[in-house]
Amino acid sequence: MSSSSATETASEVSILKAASETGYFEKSTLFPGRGTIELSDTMSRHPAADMFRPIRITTCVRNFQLRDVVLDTDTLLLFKDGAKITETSYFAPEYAEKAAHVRTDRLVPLDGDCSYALVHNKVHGVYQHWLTQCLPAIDWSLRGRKARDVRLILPRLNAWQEETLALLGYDEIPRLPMQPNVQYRISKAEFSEYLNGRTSFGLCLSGLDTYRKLLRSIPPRKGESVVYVRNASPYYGPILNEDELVSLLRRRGIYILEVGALSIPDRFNLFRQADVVIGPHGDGLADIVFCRPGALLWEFMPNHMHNGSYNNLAHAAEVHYWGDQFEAVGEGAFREWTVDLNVVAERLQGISRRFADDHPRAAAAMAVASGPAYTRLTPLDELMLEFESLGDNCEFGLIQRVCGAEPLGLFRFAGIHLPVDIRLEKLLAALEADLAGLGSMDTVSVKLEGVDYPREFVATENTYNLMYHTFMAEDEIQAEVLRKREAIRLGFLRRKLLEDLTNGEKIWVWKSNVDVAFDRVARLVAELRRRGPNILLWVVTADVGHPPGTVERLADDWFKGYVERFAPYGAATDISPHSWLEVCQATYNLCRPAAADEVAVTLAEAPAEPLTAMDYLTRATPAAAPDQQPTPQPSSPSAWLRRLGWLRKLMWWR
Amino acid sequence: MVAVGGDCAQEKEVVLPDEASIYASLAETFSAVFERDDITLSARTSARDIDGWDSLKQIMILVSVEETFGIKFSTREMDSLGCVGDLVSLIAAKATGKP
Repeated sequence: MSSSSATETASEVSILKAASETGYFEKSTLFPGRGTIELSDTMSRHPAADMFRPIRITTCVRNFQLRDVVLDTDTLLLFKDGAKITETSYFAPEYAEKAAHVRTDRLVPLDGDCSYALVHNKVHGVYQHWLTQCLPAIDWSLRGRKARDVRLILPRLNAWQEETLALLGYDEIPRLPMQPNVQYRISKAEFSEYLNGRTSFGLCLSGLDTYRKLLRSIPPRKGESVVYVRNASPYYGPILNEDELVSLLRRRGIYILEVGALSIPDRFNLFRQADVVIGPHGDGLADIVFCRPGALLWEFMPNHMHNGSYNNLAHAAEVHYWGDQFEAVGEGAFREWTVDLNVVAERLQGISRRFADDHPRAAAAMAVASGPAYTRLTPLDELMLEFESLGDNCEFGLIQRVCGAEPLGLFRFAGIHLPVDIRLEKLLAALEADLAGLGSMDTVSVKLEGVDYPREFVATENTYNLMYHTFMAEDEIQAEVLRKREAIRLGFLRRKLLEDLTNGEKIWVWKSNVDVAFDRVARLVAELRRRGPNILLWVVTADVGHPPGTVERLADDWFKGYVERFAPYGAATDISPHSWLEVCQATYNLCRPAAADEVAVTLAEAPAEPLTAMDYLTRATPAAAPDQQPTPQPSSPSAWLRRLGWLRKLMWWR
Repeated sequence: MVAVGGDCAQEKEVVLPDEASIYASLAETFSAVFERDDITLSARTSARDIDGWDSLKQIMILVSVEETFGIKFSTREMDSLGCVGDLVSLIAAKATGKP
């Protein structure tokens, strides 16, 4: 291990380079979340409004195994061969991070027999960060492990933090009692992406599974239907009229949750039973993850503050979201602001109407809000490897790249460079001819394109009129060397394409930006059938009867998918991937039924218990006293808990 | 290289590459494909470890390996490759299977 002087700044290395092994706690999939998002006019017009749009793809969460690293206990930075691992600097103070480096005088070697999991970060003491970052990191680091194999690197914790660990059953797991102002030399360490903020503004299903696990450890008790969560010290500034606001809400029978008033289990249970959660942006809203699908989060914030983190948590839990912004006064990040009580009154009426309509169950609201229902969700990188482009242009190849899939395919980036309306016939002719002669040196040429130096070589093949980018510049390679290389490459890809067509294991994708008659595509299907047990996905743009993401089965081996739009031919990188991914997932589910037994999803299932929120609002029932003891009620497993089966199937262990 | 053969004196001797020689050959291939001489290969080396290792470079590697070792990869074999260790194992297995 290298050391350096106190004045030297450590070099940096990415965790991907530093890790000896990379595993997955969760891979990205489509997320057909049914929670709706409704923003006030002010919020929806704001440039940062995109922060509150529904996220339709879940976040990939990786876990890294690290060999021979150093942990600096003051900054929680990890070092590999003296270089700072960049991704471990989350919330480390800038001055400390800059000064941090490996110091031999502080090094304490740790027992090399077990693995040490770093499972907290510099903001672990903040409730939201503990709940959404540290607890999932701890939970997923320990699942399927024997306790003796791993030690948790944790500082001295608060009582409420210990309580959450006990609920998960991890309070007895051995820990490394972290000392300040030292550096540990660790031969086997682990670090997951929950800890560096990567999951905070995305959707994380594995985290959701941790919250469900916490709930399972708490017997359900009767709770409150509508809850207002106070924020005692908002970092962005206080609500000037909060007392007035709270008084109004109390008069309407809404339960006011004060910070620290409830134990951790009672708090989790309160949210589990709540139909509506109201509050200013703040830490306490993180418990929205314990709400049932179909509940509602109404969050408000001042107009100098935009943060979509609780919206994202609500969306992951399939909780509906309302967002409002109110005027703040002053300058800077900390400003006083006032909640418009007229808006509050209107919102409360809206809530009353909503639940009066939907009462007694939230199922109706969820059904209305539902998007395309999938019987199965596949990690996107794996899903996209099931498909192969038959050309037109490189749009589908780029969508595969977005998903982290880099398959080898002749037509992935090469297109038939002829007028659009005859490309299909040229493709057919090429397939019928087995692409004979493809890769012959005399048919391949390269030419420079562009104006500014260095220009890029573009390759053309004149038997089948293929054209594609080589991504090689004139200052990188000689034209003749490149031409030979491209000829070899084309020959290789021809061989692979013909073999793939014979194997019939790929789902072939063909699209055109112009309308193509059914009969013409049927000829392509016939050619594919002649070659093997192939499947064609013909992709067109959505129309009135076929919204984006729809897939029609035209035959056992022929599907028609509808996407939102195609990238223009002149700008192939201007892709709109989401509906493409929906089409691919739906097609895969339809034509690969053999694997469908992995996951049984019933997205239309409703919460088992009726929502009764608006009884309180409409009748203005006096609120229960804050110290009132909740009364036990029989445990009744909710339908949404039963959906955990498919959630677990989406988790990837190491 | 490891020389293997049967007891029969008439049987043609087949020279199979051992793991070290496969790595040595791959090092040359990677050096040529990426035009760098500082690449260190291990069984765990994968596309994320080497800048510019995209699908185009992958083809160049596979073409070069096929030519060097006189073998052909099937589509399924190509799709199954996740790291250099997989490639080394595959080369060794295919070389063993040769007459």
